[in-house]
Amino acid sequence: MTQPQALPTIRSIAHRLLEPPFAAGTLSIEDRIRCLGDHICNLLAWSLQDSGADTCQHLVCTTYLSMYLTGDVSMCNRLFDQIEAQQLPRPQALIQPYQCAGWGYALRYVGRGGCAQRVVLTIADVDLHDLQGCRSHPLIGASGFGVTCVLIDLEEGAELPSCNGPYPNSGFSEFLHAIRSQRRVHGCTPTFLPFLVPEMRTIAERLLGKDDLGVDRHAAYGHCFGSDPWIGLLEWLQAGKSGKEHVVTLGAVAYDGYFTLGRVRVSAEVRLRLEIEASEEDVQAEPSAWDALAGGGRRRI
Amino acid sequence: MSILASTPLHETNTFAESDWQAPGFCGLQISGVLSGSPFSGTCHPAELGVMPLVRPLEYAEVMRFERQAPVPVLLSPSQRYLLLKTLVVEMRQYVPSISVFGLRLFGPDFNVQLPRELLASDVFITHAPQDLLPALLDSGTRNVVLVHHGLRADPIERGENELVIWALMLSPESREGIESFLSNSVVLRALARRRVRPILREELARLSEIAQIAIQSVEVCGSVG
Repeated sequence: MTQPQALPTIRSIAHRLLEPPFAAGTLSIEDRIRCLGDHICNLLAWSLQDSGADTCQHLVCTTYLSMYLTGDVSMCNRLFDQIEAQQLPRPQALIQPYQCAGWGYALRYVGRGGCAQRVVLTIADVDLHDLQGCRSHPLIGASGFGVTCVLIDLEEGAELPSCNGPYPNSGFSEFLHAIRSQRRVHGCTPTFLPFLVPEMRTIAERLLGKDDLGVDRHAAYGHCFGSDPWIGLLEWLQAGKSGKEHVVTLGAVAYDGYFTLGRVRVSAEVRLRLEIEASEEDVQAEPSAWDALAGGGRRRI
Repeated sequence: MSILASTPLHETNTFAESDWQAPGFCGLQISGVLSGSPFSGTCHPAELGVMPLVRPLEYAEVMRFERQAPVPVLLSPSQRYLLLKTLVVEMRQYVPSISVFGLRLFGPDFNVQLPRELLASDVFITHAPQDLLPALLDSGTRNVVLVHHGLRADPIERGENELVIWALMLSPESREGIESFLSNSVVLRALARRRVRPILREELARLSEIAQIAIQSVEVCGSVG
């Protein structure tokens, strides 16, 4: 009998909601980036306490941030310098083209050699420019912003998330069918999806059943880009499931037609931190300028 | 849509024997710039769009992105993807020993899909692939290709339409493939001011600086076609 493959082990999950306007009253983009750096450093320091930060690989994933960071290496280096100056692991990459699925691609990359290692993923989606157009999308609904840090141990030869695409229509149906295929092979595990508008959630529930799906928190948080499944897992664990080891499935879909899907093991000692002081109430999906221009142009600022 | 050659490749694009044997040699840098569209003669959608702006402060905010650009926009987002995809496919074909590609893309071009070849498991897309190098060196990874570019596909983007390829930590058996790539690459043929330069191990920490010097040098010199 072959030994079951090791799974990535989740040591901590931290999420901080950062509702727009971000850093209100702060005019310069440098100050806003410094403020973002403070949030990242704060969550990262909490995530890495009692951990060997010097041996940890750190990657930053984003779907929605600022071209000042993604398009200007010198500005991005200021953020990375700020993190390093706090004796926290300097990120080796800022990853945006994989959009919400970026954390899966990042894990696939760092784990490709099969060596045991510790990885921290920061998922940062923040409205640095206070643009109403990013507050909602005709297909995705209201947006939610914030920073997530996930500390992960990869054992030697650990199973890595699958990363698939490109597919038409955002790959959503292919994503759901991939979950069904995974369940046929490995059995059902609690599954955490992106937060979806009701129409899409209904499709997911019809195809996958409701029993093993994490609660959809779109009404509370909006779509928080790549953070959604991690927030869903975090809340599920906080609701009485922590203190025991779990195998769960997380997945994310990129708007342009890629997805990631992976099984992880949640440590019985997992550390959890959820900061949602900015919004305990339902997010109202206010119509944005996007609603008048459904599908028009691309969001990239 | 196919890539058109703007300049011929010559046999002098290959490395001299002495380059490969130099003490500390660990790879090479290939650089060049687009001086015209490699897809000229055909019409193609610009695929540009902007975030809808509704308040005066949003217009002011977006105006911060405006800057004087030294070079024109020569590609659409999907043409940029095609050029980079072709480069990856060519390098895989000529140098099968390449273990990983680090590729620069600094944002999603929404509604323009990445091609399958760039989503493959041996390609990792990040804002600055040279930043991947320390961890790659620590892990002992060989036959690494890092691709930096400043290929502009949108007026708000920075860049000088440059393309820089670093093939690093090369194993001896990769030499023949690298030389075939240099001699046959369609992507390289689309570049002007091509330069090929050896990279020594002690230079790995300053790749960006070395690339900048190569891009800014108008005069063609060295073992270049």
